This record gives sequence, structure tokens and C-alpha cells, in this order.
Amino acid sequence: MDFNALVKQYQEPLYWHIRRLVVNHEDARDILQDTLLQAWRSVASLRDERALKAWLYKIATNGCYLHLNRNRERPLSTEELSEVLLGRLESASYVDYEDGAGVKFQQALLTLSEQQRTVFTLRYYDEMSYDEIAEVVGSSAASLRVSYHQACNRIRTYLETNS
Amino acid sequence: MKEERDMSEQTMRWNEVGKRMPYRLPEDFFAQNEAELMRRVEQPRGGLMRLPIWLGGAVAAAVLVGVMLWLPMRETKPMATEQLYAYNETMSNEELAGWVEFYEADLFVSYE
Repeated sequence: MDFNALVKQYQEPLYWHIRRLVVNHEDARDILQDTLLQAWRSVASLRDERALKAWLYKIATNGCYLHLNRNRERPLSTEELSEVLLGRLESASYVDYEDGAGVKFQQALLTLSEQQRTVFTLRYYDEMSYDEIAEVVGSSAASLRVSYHQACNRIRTYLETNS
Repeated sequence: MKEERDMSEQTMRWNEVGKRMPYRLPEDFFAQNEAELMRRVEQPRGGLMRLPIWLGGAVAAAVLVGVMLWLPMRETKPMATEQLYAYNETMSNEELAGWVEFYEADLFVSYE
């Protein structure tokens, strides 16, 4: 696969995955570029081409959390990260604030833990299997099912209490 | 019954959104992004571009050191006989006597 084909196939799904995690378009654009360039430079080390999709998502996901914790003395806690992301959602460009239900749903996502949010977005939006998600986040499929179930419950609770 | 109604209302709110997101994009973003990526992947990285400059600097420094070491060595060639005689003329009788005494005591020089 050449670089142009790699970009054409993966830039759009990767962009939206990254955007859901970092909220800002500009940050998502930069992380997307870094992800694809890093992947292209390291693609020779990838032994199984079937693992390409999970590998790309892994690089992208790690890039998102590195970006969010950049220039900080210690990694952000779940609550701190949620606060940062909710603040971003309130002031980000390229957000349709007239879509109240959509904004509310994304707010609910942003209150999840890092693991829950990643698992939920990969399962719900990217429709990945638990085995595929396990390759991305490095956890067991069984624990990921639990994370997804917990994420769904938290989202429902948030929608109910913030309706 | 109330719990079932609450759950169905939550489900309805969730279903209302589905996979829709409020996030938007600049026009032609993906086409521009693709072009930017192709440009970046064809350009050598900053570190590699600096390599020839670094290498050239190292070579220049090595040449300079070599010249500085070679020049003094080039100038210290053996003096010609006429120059030696001329140098001897500058020495005093005492200095000359000292050199004669030195060589007379030299174990490795034989005088017949």
C-alpha cells in the first residue's frame, strides 16, 4: 500500500475518532497528520497488514492523550480531563451549537473516563468488534464489554439529569 | 411503569441523536489535508537536511587542523651546509668549545 492510498482510506475515519477525543478541529487536524506520517515512517515494522487498522487507531488514540497531557506536570485525572474537554466544547470552532441534542450527547461522552470514552467511540461510532478494540487499547475483550456497558449507563444518566 | 417510561424517554433521546455529531469541518478539508500530507512526506525531514551542513563543517574543520599541523612541519627542513657554517660563525668561542667537548665525550662517535 502506498502513502496516498493509506491517506485516502484512513484519514476520514481517523479524523473523526480523534475529533471525538480532543474536540478541537485544529488539534484533530494536527494529530491526524502526525498519526499518518508516523505510521508511514514505521510501517515497515508492521508484521501483519491485517493489523494495520488497529495499529493506526492505536497511534491516533495515544497521540490524543499525549496531546491532552502535554506541558503538564502530571497526567490529568478523569475529572480534570472532563473539565478541560467540556470547556473546549463550549468554545470550539466548527461546532454546530444549534444541534442541542448532539452537543448534549457529546458532553455526556466527555464525562466518561479515558478508557470508557475510547471504548465507547470505537464501538458505537466506528463499529469495531471488541477484539479489534482490544488491539487498540491493549485490554481484554471481556473487560472492554464491561467498560462499554458502564459508558452507556453513564451517558444515559447524564442525559437524564441534564435534560 | 414510571421507570419503564423514563427508560424509553432516555432511549428516545439517545435514538434522536444516533451517530450524529455537532462537529463540523472547513470546506474541502480532507482534500487539503491529503495534499498537505503528500507535500510533507516528499520533503526530507529537518534533521536529514542539516546532515550535509554538519558533514561539510566537520570536513572543513579537519582540513584546517591538518593544515595547521602540516605547515610547521614543512618549515623545519634540514639546514644546508652553508647555513650551518653561517650559524657557527654566530657562536662564541666558549659555545664552540662546549660543543667540541660534548661530542668528544660521545660514546657513539669514534674518532680516528
